Amino acid sequence: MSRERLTTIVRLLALPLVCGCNASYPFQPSNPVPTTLQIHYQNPMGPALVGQSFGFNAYVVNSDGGIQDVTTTATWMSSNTNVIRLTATPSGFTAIAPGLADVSATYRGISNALPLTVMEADRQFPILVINLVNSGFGPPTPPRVVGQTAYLSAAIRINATQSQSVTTQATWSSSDPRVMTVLPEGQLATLRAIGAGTAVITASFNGLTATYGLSIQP
Amino acid sequence: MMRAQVILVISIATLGVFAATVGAQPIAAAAPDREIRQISGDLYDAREGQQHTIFLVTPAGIIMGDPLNVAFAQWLNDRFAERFPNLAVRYVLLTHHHFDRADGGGVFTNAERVGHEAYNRALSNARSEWPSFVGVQDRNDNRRFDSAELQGPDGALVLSRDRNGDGIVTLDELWRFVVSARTTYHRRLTIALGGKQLELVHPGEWHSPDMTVLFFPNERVLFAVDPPPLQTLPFSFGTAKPRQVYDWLHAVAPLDFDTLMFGDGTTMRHSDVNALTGYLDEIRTEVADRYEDGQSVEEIQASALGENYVGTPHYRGRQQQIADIYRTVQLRRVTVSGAGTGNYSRVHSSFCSSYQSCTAGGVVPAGTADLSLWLGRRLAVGATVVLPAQTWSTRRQPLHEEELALRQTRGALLLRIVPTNVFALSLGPSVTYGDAEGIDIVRGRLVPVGGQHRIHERAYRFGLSFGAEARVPLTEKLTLVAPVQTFHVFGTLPESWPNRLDVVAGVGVSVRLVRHVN
Repeated sequence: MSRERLTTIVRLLALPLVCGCNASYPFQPSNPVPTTLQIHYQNPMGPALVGQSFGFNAYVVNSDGGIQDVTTTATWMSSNTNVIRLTATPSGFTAIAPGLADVSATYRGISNALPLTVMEADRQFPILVINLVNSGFGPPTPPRVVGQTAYLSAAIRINATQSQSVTTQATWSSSDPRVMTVLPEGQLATLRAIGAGTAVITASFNGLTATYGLSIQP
Repeated sequence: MMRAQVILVISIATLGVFAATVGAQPIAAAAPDREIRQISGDLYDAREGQQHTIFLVTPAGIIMGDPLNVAFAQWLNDRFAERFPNLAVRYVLLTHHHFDRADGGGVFTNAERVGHEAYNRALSNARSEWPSFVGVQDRNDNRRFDSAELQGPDGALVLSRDRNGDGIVTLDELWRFVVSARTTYHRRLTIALGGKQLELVHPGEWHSPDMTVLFFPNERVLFAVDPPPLQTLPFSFGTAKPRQVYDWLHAVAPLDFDTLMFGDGTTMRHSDVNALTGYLDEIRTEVADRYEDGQSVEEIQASALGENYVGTPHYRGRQQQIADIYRTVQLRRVTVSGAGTGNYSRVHSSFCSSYQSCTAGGVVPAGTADLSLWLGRRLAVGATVVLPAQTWSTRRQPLHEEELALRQTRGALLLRIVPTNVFALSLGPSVTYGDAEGIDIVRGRLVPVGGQHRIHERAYRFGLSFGAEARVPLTEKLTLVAPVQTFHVFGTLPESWPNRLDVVAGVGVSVRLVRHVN
């Protein structure tokens, strides 16, 4: 066989290898657009006490499911600056006086708000409080990311020195079960992080109500 | 029989012409067993006993064949000085390294010694080994030939190299005056001198790996030493390897000569060489065809193979010739195959294990190409390439979705065993190259981990391929094939590959591109 003929055959055999080895996927990723905005507690908290400072983070959930931190670029406001006031950029607030106020953030026309209650530090007893319970070694830690678990208890403080556990008698609820669930199990209430977002856990007993707000990081 | 008689008459006539010419123009006869005869023009035959060599006289000097031995070379040199006083020996052409031919080349001190490229290596090896080309043996294994071991004509030949006259011949004495070649060649070499030219041709490895025949185109004479047994009637390979005989004939027959002169002084006509070559070629072609078809040697011997030559002298040796060729025939084929196939990919459990919904694998159309070198009729080595269409896979869990197009190209080096002409098995290492493109969506995670991502992954994995093939010959060159081939991938699978095992099956044709019989 001539050299030219052999070369032609080898080229013909190699052609499909060169042309036919690549996969072809016809779709391109879409450009993500923000759909919702979430306000997250930087630290879990119950009702704010006058003089207490606290901070928040803002995240937008894009149309493709990804989450973006927009804390520094969002616009932060208090609905009642007599109660809560923006005191540190970008998102540090201070409780000024007892009352109700919403902390809101706006990013590219999308807004969300978080209602907060401010109470006097010197309150009238009895009051219902929610506590994070140490369930293992080290100090009690709130759940931060999806999948983590923590334990809560509820107690009535009768005066400055006396309190009584009402964990099993209290009624527990979560403001957003897609973010967090709470279920009484034995002597404690079990808190489970389900998805990224913010939820407020509420315990009710005999007309008294306690709240505990916390956020799960994306 | 008539043909043989004609050949014999012509051969005797040719010898008679030589003898008459020699008788008319003797140059010298220093001893009764040495003689110089003119062959044609300036081409001469020089003889010592049964050993013949050849030389060509040109205006610019003499071109010598084998020197035979020191004494003969000195005698010949003296004759040259007498007859051609102004001409020096310019070339010594060494037909091969054996001491009975190449001994004494150093006598022609200023001549260029020319031999085949294997000459010097063969000579170097020979200096430490006992010669296998003469019929004497070192029976008592004392590393020398004693007088009792040197009997008969071959014994006398070896004893003629007893340099110190002690009746014993050592290896050193045998090879002491065999000279090396200064100029070597590969296949052919033309030497031109004084307006004349000759050609050195390597006729293969018959008798010695460094063989050379000398072709004198102007004189239309070919000089060949220690040839295959061409003059036996009927022809028989004897102990010769048929392949070497064929190589020799195919190197010599195309040369444009009238007379082939051998080293023992006998001659053969070109037409007789061509007739023998044609006969043996036809026998070998037929034997190879039938061998390829799966016939046994007995079946071929019982067939009508070679019946065109009934009545010729060589035909009488047909049975043994067929047996010798069948025993050593080498069949080489190159085939190229193409098949339309389906490629089934079996989904590996790990691909779907952590997903709530998952689809992957299945059957896609594919094309298969194969290039094979067949070593005989039962064995082949080849390269196979499978080009399937791309497969699609999707898998979902609450926070993760993925869709992929994956095209996997498979190649394998296969050893193919063919137990019968209609069935083949193949096994060999394989490599699978995969190109994956697609998109995944990660929900609930911060960008850039979260969100949509384009996936483009290229990877390859080695593995093993095993297969079987049904074969139905359609014509001499075309075969219908139905291959089934499995490909198994080793090692950790790339993230985008759902499959570890693939089966390719289909129907196609195989075309024979090259067929070579040796």
